[in-house]
Order: sequence, then structure tokens, then C-alpha cells
Amino acid sequence: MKIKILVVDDEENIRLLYKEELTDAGYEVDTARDAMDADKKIPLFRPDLITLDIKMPGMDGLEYLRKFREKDKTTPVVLCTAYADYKRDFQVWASDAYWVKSSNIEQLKTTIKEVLDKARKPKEGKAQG
Amino acid sequence: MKDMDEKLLRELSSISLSRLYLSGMLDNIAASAAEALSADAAAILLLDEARETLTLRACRGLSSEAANNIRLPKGKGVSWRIASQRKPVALARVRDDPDFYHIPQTGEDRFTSMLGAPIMLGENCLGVLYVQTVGPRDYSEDDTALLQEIASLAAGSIQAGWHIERAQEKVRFLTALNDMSGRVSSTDDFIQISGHVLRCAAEIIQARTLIIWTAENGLPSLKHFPEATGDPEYLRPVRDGLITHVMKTRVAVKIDDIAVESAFAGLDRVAQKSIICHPLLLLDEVHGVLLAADRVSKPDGYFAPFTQEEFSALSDIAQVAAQAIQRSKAKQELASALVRNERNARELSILFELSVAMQQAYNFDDLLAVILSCVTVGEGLGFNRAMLFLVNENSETLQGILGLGPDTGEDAAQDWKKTTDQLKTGPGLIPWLLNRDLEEIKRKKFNAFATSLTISLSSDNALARAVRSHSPVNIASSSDMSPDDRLFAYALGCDRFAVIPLIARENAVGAILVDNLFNDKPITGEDLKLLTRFSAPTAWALENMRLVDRLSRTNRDLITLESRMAQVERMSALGEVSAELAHEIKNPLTVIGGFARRLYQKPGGEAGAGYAEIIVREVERLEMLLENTLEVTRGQFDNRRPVNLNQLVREVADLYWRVMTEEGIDMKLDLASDLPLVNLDSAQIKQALINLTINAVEAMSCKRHKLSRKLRIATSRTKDNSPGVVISISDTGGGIAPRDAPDIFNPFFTTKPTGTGLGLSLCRKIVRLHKGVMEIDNRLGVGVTFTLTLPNEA
Repeated sequence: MKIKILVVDDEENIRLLYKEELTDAGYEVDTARDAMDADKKIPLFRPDLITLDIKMPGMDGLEYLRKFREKDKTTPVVLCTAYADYKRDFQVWASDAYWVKSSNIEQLKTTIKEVLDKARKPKEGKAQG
Repeated sequence: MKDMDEKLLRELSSISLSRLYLSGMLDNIAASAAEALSADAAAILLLDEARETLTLRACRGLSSEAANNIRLPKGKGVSWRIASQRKPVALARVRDDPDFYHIPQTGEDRFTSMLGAPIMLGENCLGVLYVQTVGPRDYSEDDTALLQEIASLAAGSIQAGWHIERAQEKVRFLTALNDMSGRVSSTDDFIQISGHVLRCAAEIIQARTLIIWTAENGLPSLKHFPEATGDPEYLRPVRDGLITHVMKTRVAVKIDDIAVESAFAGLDRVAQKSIICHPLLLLDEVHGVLLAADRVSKPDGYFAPFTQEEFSALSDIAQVAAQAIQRSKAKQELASALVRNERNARELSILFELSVAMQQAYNFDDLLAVILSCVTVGEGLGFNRAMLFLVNENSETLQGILGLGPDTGEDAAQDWKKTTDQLKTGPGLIPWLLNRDLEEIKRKKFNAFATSLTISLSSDNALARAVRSHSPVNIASSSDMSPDDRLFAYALGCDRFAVIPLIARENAVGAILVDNLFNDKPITGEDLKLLTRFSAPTAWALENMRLVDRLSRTNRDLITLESRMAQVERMSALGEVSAELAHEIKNPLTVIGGFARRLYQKPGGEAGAGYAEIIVREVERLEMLLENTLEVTRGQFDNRRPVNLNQLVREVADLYWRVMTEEGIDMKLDLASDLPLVNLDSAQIKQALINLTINAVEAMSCKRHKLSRKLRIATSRTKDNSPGVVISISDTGGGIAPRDAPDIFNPFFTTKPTGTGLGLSLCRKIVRLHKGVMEIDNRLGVGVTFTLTLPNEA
């Protein structure tokens, strides 16, 4: 079964780009255009990882992350943003990774892989032990 | 006969020596002649001045009403023959004479004979004396000789009588003149003096008209006295001709018949026949001209030339009048000199008290209060209201610093009473000046008005002119006003005001404006002189205070600069503004780059066309973004379109409604319903409104803020009805501290821990790009009002 990734971003072309790239990389990808859309899709799609844009209309990524973590403590979340300044924000600590948007999607893929590996190890360890 | 002669002569000489009036003397002579010649009647006829008629002056045995009423025209009757031939005539039967001329109602038709003789004084015939009898009588030579003797004695008597009459006339004249000089001395009022002079002249001279023209700078003024004599314009030719001539030549003029005299125009406007005219001359100075017109001859009432006596009498009257006017002028000069002296003394005392008070004033505010109190207190310079302005060298403006004045007439009366009481019961002017309630002064609307004023030094306002020229400007009437002054006077509510510059070290440091709104007293040259003298120590005191201020300011500027450096550093790391921009650019770049890589990795793929399309669109988006950014920095707009400003205001208000409620701010919109659509870049203007609204909210949201929190956004048409709009945003955030006020528009200046300092500078930039004006009304302790005036630029 393929690993599922939910891409949450308000920009249509960003969503399309991520979807194509991540699909090519062997993931099953669904997209949501904002926090509300994500809330609807998560229970149905049950993603293994979420990429979350910070700057979105309505509820922004950081706020959504806080809400999401109240319900779900384990599903990894990669924050995506246009600039690096948010690294100083303590709310970012609630995420598993922080990716500064770039046309080089390879970095995003690497990050996703690392995060997934990190998340799976404790799980596997638990299952084995 | 001889005895009789002696007796008669004694009698006659006693008559001539007597102080009887002439008519009484003549009666006695007539009686004596009738008695001496045993005649039944006697009469004396005298020639008048003009030698035109013989008038019966005295008689015996004729009807008593005849005296003074019987006149023989020239050449009529035996009497005229006697007078013209100067020889006695004896007629036994007078009716037989060819010259006989019967005068009815005299009763002389009873008489038959007549013996007459001329009354000769030297070569001069004065009249005729004759006797008559009822029956016919042949007169002897002795009779004729006796009558001639009596006639010559009568001549002496008449002359003596005339002398007495003339002396009495003279006494009457001198009495009147004396009376007049007494009366004119009792007054300094020129109109009253003229009145006395004219009444006196009217008593002495039988003139139909008497007029005085006054002198102004050595020329006759248009005004004359009494004014009832005629319209000044109607009499202008007289004034310009005869009166000017007399005033210039200083020589009196006597005109016997204006029909003959042709040297002067318009004389018929004052006279029908005769004129005499004297300059009011004293010590080489002409004070006016006294004119008498048309001598009324007695008893006939026709107009005759003035006599030499009257001419010289008028000269004497003119002399006394000139003295009176001179004295009145001297007295007025003395009085004004006394006033000047008193003023000088008062001036010295005010300047002294002020300098003492200023030395004791210990901070800037106290000093300002001392200065303006001194200008307005009755014991000081006594102006109704005063404003103090200081020059701001950086912005080249004059800034209103303090205004002192009552707001209403009632207020003025109360203030005045309070001040008078305080000064009467208090320890004196200096302590009073130093203990003014500054808060009370500042609470008045007039102070709010004064401190709201910022006047460009290059403008045509009276304040700017005074400061530029280093000299006082007195706006005494609307003719002294420039268009700027008219607007200013309207705002001030007073048409007459004066400005003095405050000059220290040859630099204008400020200006004081004064007016007398409440008592409407004109501002005189003396007032201005005193104010100017007062301004010198004031300017120095202000300048000293300013130097101290500047020293501490330099110190503070260094600190500000330091903190600003830190801020710029923070900004350059990654400012909030660039963060925004980065996000806008980063997204399309990510998309473009991403799809470009995919195309590169999988050329010829099915999706290739779609990728290319996305790239094209994202590049277009980037170009648009860049263009907009450049437009703002270049100051061009393509996004301007007719906008309803009220709509923008509502959108901004909606955005912040929740924040306002949370902060307990009472937001009120006051939107004009007749607002025209104006060409605006709505996004830019909205940004400006948001910045101003945020500023206002932040000013009112700080914890130590204790004023009621009110935000008012108002829109209106421009006042001059040009197709523009005005929007003002007022808060009750306590205003901007004076030390911060000059900096608020500087980019990166902020008083907030997290601000960028770009808000107000951006606002101003946006407004300027719209060719609009942004004004700030900063009321310390109250709040700030920003006003944006936006014209409808195509």
C-alpha cells in the first residue's frame, strides 16, 4: 500500500506541482485548499503525512497545526513557507519539519522521506518489541 | 442880541459837551434855533454817508413822527439846493420858490417863510438847518448870520456826537471782543471756538453771512463753520479761489461789489454785493480764514460795501480767533505730550516688571504664560487677545505655541473682573504673572485654535511677512490684507490685528499676534511701538530657553539615532515589509521552477503543454507584481478609477470592528451623503486609512491611557467646493509628545516596540501621489486628528 500524503496549500499551481512530483516519487497524493478543506479530507483519506502551507486565507497553517495536534499527536506534518523567518516562532516546533519553498522539489522529497523514516522507526520498534 | 448870543453859545457848547446821543443833541439845536430866531419851527436834515439822501434827523414844530422818517432824494426841494450850493437861503414865501417840494404829513404846510443854512464842517457839508414861521416873514441879514452861526456850532456838535457815537461803537466792539476772547479761552473745542467767534462778529458787523474756513497743512480744508452756511461742495469754488488766495498771501481782502471784482470765481455763491475776508494769522501761521459777506445797511436793509471800520474790526476778531485756535492746538499738543510721558513711564515699568518676571520664569511653559499675560493684562499692554508663534527652522514654518484670550465677550468680562480683583488684593503684578493657571489658559478654545496653526514662512500671511521683514505688520483695515490674511482674519474672527516679530541675534525666533476683538479698540502706532520694545527682551528670553532646549535635544537626537540604527538593522535582516513581498514572489517562483524542472526532466511528456501554460501564467503574475511595486515607488497609478470614499471607509471600519469592540473603543463614522466620486487608487487609499486607523487604535490602547476612547472618521466635500473629498480620523489618544512631533513622518521612526515606522510615511506618500494634502492637528492631552484632502485628479 502506498504511503499517503495530503498537500494543504492555497495556491492551485503549488498543489498541482506537489501532487505531480510526489506521485512520481511513488506516494498517493490528495490536496486541500485550506484548513477547512483539510479537516474534511483527513478522516476520509487518512494521510501518513501532511504538507502544510503557513500563509493561507482564513486560518493560517500555524494555527491549524495547533488545532490538529490536539486531536492527532503522531501524523507527521511538514510546514512549507516562502520565507525562513517563522523558524523563530515556537509554534513551528510542533511540526516535524520546516521546508522553505523552492523550485527544487527534491529537497522537499528528501525531507518527507526523512520525516517518514523517523516516524516509522519508533512505530516499528514498538511493533517488534 | 449879544447877551442872547452868549447865552445861546453857552447852551450850544454845553450841548456839544454833553454826553447825549446825537439825536438828542440835534433836537436841542433845533429847539435853540427856533427860539433864537423867534421862529415857529426848526429842522435839521443830514446827508447820509453816500450823499444820496437828506434825512430829517431833528425838528421843532413839525410832526414828531417826521424825525428819521423823512428822506429827500437827491436834488429835491430847497434843502437840497442849500446843501449843494452851500449857501443860506431866505424866503418870505417858500411856496413861491421853484424848488419848493411839499412833503405831506410833516405839518409843514402850515408855514409860509423859510430861512435855511448849510451845516458846514470845514469844506464838508453835513446837512441843512432851517427855521420857518406861520406868517410870511422877511429875514434880515442878521437873522441869516445868526442861523449860520448856529449851523456851524451844530456842525461841531454833530462831529462831537459822531465821535461819541464812534467811541461808544468802539467800546461796544471792544466789549464784544473781550467777551469773545473770554469765551474762546474757556474751550479747546474748535467748533465751540468758531461758534463764539462768529457770534461776536455778528454782533459787531452787520453782515448777512459769516463763515470760517479751517486750515489743514497750510491749506483751507473743505470743512467750514457754521456748517449750516452751505454745502462744502457748493462752496468749493470759493474755497479754492478767494479763501486759498487769502490763506497763501496772508493778506486780507475787501471787495465792495462782487459784480465788479472778477479776480475770484464763485463769489456769488456766498455774497450778493460785498465781502471782507481776513486770514486767521498768528506768528506766521495761518489757522484759517474768516469771511463776512453782504453788509446790511441800516435802516434800509439793502446790501452795501463794508466800512473801513468794519474791515479793521473783522481783522481784530480774526486776530483773537487765531490766538484761540493756536492756544487750543498748543494745549492739545501739551496734553498729548503728557500722555506720551505717562506712556513712557508706564512702558518702562512694564518692561521692568516683565524682565523680572521672565528671569524668574523657570520653565518654557511658564515663560510663555508670562509673555502673553503681559501682552494682555490691562496693567501691561492691554490687548484683548494674543498668540505666540515660534519659528520651526526645519519645516520653515511658524508654529502656534500658545494663545491667550477669552472665548466670548462674557468670558472676557469675567476674566477682566477676576484679574482686576486678583491684582487689587494680590501681592502685585510680578507674582501674578508668575502664577497664572496655565491649564486654564490652555483649556480655552482660543488656545486650541492658536496651537493648531502652522504657517509657512514663504506664505503671504501677515505673520510670515512680519518674520521675513523683521518689522511689525499692522492690519488696521481690510485694505491692508493679502488674500492669505483675509482667510486668516476670517478664522481669527477679527478684522484688525497686528503682528510683531521676535528678533534675537538678528534672527526671527517667532512672532506675537495681538487683537482687540472684544472692545474693538484700534491698534495705534503707539501701541505697536510699545509692543516692539516689549518684543526685544521677550525674544531674548525665548532664545535662551530655546538654546537650553536645543542642547538637551541634541543629546536626545543622539539617543534616537542609536535606536534607529538598531531598528534599521532589524529591518534589513528581514523586515515585515520585505517578508510580505518575499511571500508574493516565492510562491510563483516555486511553481515556475518546479514545473520547469519537470519539463526538463521529462521533455515531450503529455503534460508538457499544461506545465508550459502554468509557467507562462506564473511569470505573468510575477511581472504584474513587479510592475505594481515599481509603480508605487515611481509614484504612478494605473489603478485609479472613480471611487466612493465612504465605501472605502466602511470597508476599513468593518475590518477593525471587532478589535475596536475588544479594546473598548467607541467608533463613530460621520460620512457626508453628498460626497462626489473621486479618482483614487482604492487599494492605496485603503492602505493609508488602515495605517491611520491602526495608529489611532494603538494610541488609545496603551494601558496607562485614561481618556475615553473615541475614534471618529468623518468625510466631507472640500471646503472650496472643488470636486475633491476630505477625510479626517480623530482619536482621543492624548496626542503626540512635542518632542516626537517633528519626527512622525520620518520613515523608520516609531515609538512602538514592534512598529516598522513606515506607516505614516507611507500614508503621506500615498496622499502626495494623489496630489493631496495630509494635515495633522495634534492636541496634547487630547488626541490627534489626521486630515487627508484628496483632489479629483484626472
